[in-house]
This record gives sequence, C-alpha cells and structure tokens, in this order.
Amino acid sequence: MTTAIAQRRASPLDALQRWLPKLVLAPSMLIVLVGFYGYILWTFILSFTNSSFMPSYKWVGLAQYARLMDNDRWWVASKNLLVFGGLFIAISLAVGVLLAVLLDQRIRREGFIRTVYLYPMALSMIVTGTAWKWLLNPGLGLDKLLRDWGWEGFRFDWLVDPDRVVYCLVIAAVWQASGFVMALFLAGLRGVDSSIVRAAQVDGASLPVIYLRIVLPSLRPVFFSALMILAHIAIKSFDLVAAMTAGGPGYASDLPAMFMYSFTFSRGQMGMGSASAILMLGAILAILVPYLYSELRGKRHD
Amino acid sequence: MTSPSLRLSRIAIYTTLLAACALYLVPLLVMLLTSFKTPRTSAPATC
Repeated sequence: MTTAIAQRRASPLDALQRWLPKLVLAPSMLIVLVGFYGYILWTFILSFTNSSFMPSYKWVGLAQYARLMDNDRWWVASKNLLVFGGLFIAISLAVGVLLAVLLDQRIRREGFIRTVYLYPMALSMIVTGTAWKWLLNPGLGLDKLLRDWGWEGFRFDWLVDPDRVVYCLVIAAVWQASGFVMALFLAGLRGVDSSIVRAAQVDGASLPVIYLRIVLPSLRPVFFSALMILAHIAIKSFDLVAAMTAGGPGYASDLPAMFMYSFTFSRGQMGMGSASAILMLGAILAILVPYLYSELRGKRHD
Repeated sequence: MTSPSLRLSRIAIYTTLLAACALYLVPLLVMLLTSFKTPRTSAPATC
C-alpha cells in the first residue's frame, strides 16, 4: 500500500534520474549499432550480390565466394597472411618477453630504456611503413649505406624481391609491436609474488630456470592477451602494406585487407571485396570467440 | 663485492638492452635526418 503511494508520488525528476543513464548512452549505442554492426550486416549482404562499382542487390548466392576461391591473388594474400602473421606474432612475443625479463633485473635508467622500446607504438603504421621503406630501399637505405662505406658485395634488396618482400613487412611490424608486448609482460612480471622467486632461489634454482619454470608459466593470461592483440593486428594489417610496398612488387606482398580494399574501391568488384571482408571477419572471430568464451567461463567459475 | 660471473651477466644484460635500444632508435634517426634533407638529396639514386 505504502509502496504504491510512494510510486504514485514519484516526481518527474525521479523518473528523469532513472532514465538519464539510458538517454545519455542512447546516441553512442545507436552509432555503434549502425556504424559497426549495421555496416557489417550490409557488407555480409553485399557479399551475396553482384555489386561492382556501386552496391546492387541482385542475389547471386555464393558466386562471389566461389570467384574469390578461384582468384590467385586472394591465395597469395592468404599465404602472405599466414607467413606474416606467424612470424610477426612469434618474433614479437619472443622479443617482448626477452626485453621484459632483462628489464626486470633492476636495471639503471629503466624508465628511459622502456620509453625507447615503447615509442614505436606511438607512431602510426603509415609512419612506420614509410620509415622502414626508406631504410630497406636498395637505392637509399641500409643497402646503399653499407656499399658506400666500402662493402661493395653487400646486397639487401628484400623490398624489391617478390619472394622475400613479406619479411620486410615482418621486420617493420615487429619493430612497432614488440615494445608493446614488452610493456604487457613487464607489468605481468611486476605482479608476480617475489616470495615465490625467493623460495625457488633458496631451493637452488638458477635465474633462467626460475623464469622458464615458474615466472613465465604464471603469466599465461598475459601471453594469451598479447597473442589475441597481435593476431588481430596481423589480420587487419593494411596501412603498413599500403605505406611500405602497396602490395608490390606486383601483388607479392598483398595481405587480405589490401586485397579487400583494392577489389572494393579500386577495381570495382564490391561483391568479391565484401566476400573477402567477411572471410577476414570470420578469421578474427575464429580467434576471438574461443578466447572470450574461455575468459568468461573462467570468470563465472571464480 | 660481486662475483665475476655475476658481473659478466650484468654486462651481457646491459649490452643486449642497449643494442636493442639502438635498433629501436635507428628508424627515428633516419626520419629525423631525412627531415633535414631537400627532396633532391633524399631521393633514391637512379641510373
């Protein structure tokens, strides 16, 4: 009875207070729904149509996916993604962990050294790609520098070698991302209980053994987080390729994102471009969904 | 007083960290030096 009276007496101000969070969030929710999920849905629909320069809604079923599977350039881009992604993730993790472990040894000027490792992350991939294009260019980079210094036989022309150009992308991407991995692992290392390390030292374990057997295995969540972040950077990589090689020589350094851009916006094959975008989304979801599922399940069980 | 092996490992750690620092700084240095060049001097050599 008293509750009903209280509800009846609720002022408009109370109602506004109750609705205010929803009202404030509504515009951003709408933008996210339309701008992200709406366009994903639109791309998905376009991948089943015969869209060329402009969107069209003539249904062609899985024809665009079939054309994509018959396209040599798509397979080159996919193979490049496997090589680039695999090497980029493995080397970034290895370098990041090594630097974090070394920095964790009570180093003087640690702040300065950490900043040097982290500053590439502050640069955009376009800047990174341009700088490394200059460095690896046989006409004006390392190759020319060493030959000018008298090492006449030195050759480092991977940037113009169709078989090796993808490794140049790996070098630039590792340079940019390994500092970030270092920061993640360093934060993890600082959170490890020092009494466990001291106990292992009392038991006579050497420092490498302590890190390999005790400390690093306890950083499994950090490892998976870094793996997820690096994997999605690898799959989405577009600007690095655009700045460094533009997919060349020929299309030897194409990655799926570059393929999608080229077919959708330059070659007027929007249907096939959309099909490739959906396959890329599928690759990202194949990595993210099991990870998120395991994370959320772990939290529910805590 | 630190043991020689401990000192050697400290030297190895510092050497690795500083070598990595140099590698991370090279592209920055290249960008900085190129920003002071004219388009003619920064263009790749052509035959």
